[in-house]
Amino acid sequence: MAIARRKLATSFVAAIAARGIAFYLRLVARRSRFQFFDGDRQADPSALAACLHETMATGSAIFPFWNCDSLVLLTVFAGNPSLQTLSAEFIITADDSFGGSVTLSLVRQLGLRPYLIRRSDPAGRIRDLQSLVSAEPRLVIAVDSHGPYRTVGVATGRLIRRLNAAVTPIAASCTRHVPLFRRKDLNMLLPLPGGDIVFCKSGDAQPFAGKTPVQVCQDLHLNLSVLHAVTRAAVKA
Amino acid sequence: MAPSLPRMLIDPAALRTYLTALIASELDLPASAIKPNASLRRTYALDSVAAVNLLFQIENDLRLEIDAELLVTVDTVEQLCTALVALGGDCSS
Repeated sequence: MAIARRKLATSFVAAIAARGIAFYLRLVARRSRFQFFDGDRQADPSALAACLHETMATGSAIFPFWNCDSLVLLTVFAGNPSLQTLSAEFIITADDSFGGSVTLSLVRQLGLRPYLIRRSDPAGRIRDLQSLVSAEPRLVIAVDSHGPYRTVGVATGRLIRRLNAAVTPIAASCTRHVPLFRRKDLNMLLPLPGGDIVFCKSGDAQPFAGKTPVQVCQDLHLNLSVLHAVTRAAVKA
Repeated sequence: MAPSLPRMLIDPAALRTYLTALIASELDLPASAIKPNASLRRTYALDSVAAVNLLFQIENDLRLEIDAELLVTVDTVEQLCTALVALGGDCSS
């Protein structure tokens, strides 16, 4: 009874927090200038959306990103109609921790599709993953969620290999921001209104066929780090 | 009439060999590195995605329906082997 009450209270607080953050991110999106990059080339958002759509049309697809970019990426999706129309085609994963509950609610508030992978219930987690894997999913996923940050866990490599998914890393940076938490290793940025926001997707889907999960993780780590550096350089330019 | 189950489910030694090879392949380890009584989670860092991959493969190969709970309660090759033999017995009876 007490556990159920605590869960209810947590989801209520998470929903309220998510509502506030969603309102704020929409405001930031309205008052920001966006630039889009496809690899190292500047691109039109609708062309970029078409490209992402094409990747998703071929089967399972994964769009991995570093957790620190979460809020900037959500701002990009919230502020661009061509990217938002894609949202019916992909799902954003989150777990049932407090942060995950906020993310689930926030994603829903912004008109995107969340998918819960339970963390507190090991058998439930396996069932959630089982359903996910069976559904040939299109996933937008923070590969270093819960840390260690900026590290790709081998489970991600296994998931990519299992799904035989087309993998297209994405990243976003902004000129005006404040750190959301004190933890320096996470360095999650909250974008501020009035700045420039850069969204970048990797030029091509990464070929991982025939690689071991560990090799997949190493390659993905390198790709995400390069992409992150590209967006940081673009916002500073 | 109950479907005929693979012979492995009535031959624990063959089942153990099969599971060891399967787990080794999933974890990118040589089969000789997998010890029958070592903890799959602590010793070999078996995570939930690896567990799901094993579950799909075992269900497919042994034509069994396995509840996710089973993969949470067992933690060694030996325990998994025993649980699958019991499950196979239940299915055939």
